[in-house]
Amino acid sequence: MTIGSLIDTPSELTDSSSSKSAIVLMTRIRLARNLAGHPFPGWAKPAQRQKILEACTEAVTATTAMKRSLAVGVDDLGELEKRILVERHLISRELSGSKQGSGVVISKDQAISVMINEEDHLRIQMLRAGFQLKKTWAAINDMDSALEDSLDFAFSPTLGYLTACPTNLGTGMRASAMMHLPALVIANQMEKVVRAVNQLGMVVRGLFGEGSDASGSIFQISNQTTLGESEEEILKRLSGVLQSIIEHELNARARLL
Amino acid sequence: MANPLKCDLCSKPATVHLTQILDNKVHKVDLCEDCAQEKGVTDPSGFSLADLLLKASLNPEASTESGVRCEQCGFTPNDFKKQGRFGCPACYGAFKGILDPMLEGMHKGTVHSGKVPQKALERKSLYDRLTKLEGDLSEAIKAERYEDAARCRDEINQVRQAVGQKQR
Repeated sequence: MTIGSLIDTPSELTDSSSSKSAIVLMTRIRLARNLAGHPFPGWAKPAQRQKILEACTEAVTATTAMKRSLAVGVDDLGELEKRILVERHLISRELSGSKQGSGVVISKDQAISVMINEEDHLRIQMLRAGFQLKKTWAAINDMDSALEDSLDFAFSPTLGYLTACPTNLGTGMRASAMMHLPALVIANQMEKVVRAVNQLGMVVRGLFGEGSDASGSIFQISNQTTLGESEEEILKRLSGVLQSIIEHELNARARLL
Repeated sequence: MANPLKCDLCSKPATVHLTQILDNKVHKVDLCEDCAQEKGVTDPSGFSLADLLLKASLNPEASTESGVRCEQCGFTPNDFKKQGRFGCPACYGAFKGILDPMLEGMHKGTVHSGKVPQKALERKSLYDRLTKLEGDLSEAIKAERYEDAARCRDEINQVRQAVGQKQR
């Protein structure tokens, strides 16, 4: 199986445009989910990983959102193919370098990708061009509920969704916006913005997430905490922060021009 | 100096005292000079208190229960120290003592208030009920309490039906 068909198909990120996308290029939400009663991918034995991969792939491809999707094991991908998927934000760098028994299911329009046996059993991810936190959440929430029909997720009433790393506990949700902020960079204000954003409990990262640099003045801003607040509360907070960054960027642009 | 503060990481006397305010919550860490250097506390940009708290709560002194092992997957606190991730969902119950202090600095709160997988939970409670009823049934048969046994059997059938509907 190759990803040739994906490259030829119009995708959410490359082909949809929105008037507001001048600053917020892309909205992304991911949910971390694990199957109850199974070891997390990093601790599971190869046979267990394989079993989890099969069960998850079956459940994911059976959902209506994943009709005519592409399901592929990471082992079956060539180096170049992996790089294309990472560039399109459809798989993480961690997944592209993972051991046997990992895979990904990608929807036809490349808006949804579900990574299997990355850090958690399931990393459900939804991408939308432009600034669309609400729509993206509604869509990924539906996808998650559809998977719940056939999979038993590890969940505790007090700690929420149980994840391999305690930093993702609770909602298991990381919502982020990819922002193009050239004027703030030129005006040397990014450091100030990063500090302010951090104080509000949000994180600023480079283009490809953790540990990547902000090439081309593109930054990813996302929520840091996942436990103690509902998804809607987190999104509302993030949205407020993003709005004020947009304002600052517009002001900085006005001063430059 | 009575009762000097100890380093949160290595228990040597602490000389660096750090206070960070995150989301209006105050987090305090005391460190010795070596650990402060090593953790880059002197360089505020590359320093995250959350990371530090995570490690601080894992120092050998704090986790005296290092003999604990997750019954489900065999994971130990030492493994967590190495990987920074747990072994399986049941680890959260097994290592509660290590987890609780860690969570306080990590998130906005310590109790989940978001989405609940309602369907999966209902399914689980039905399965639990079924297991219990099956136990009751065999006990009743053993004790020759046939009326109880019949009642259990009827209830089991009802629950099985409900499970079947949930799976559709």
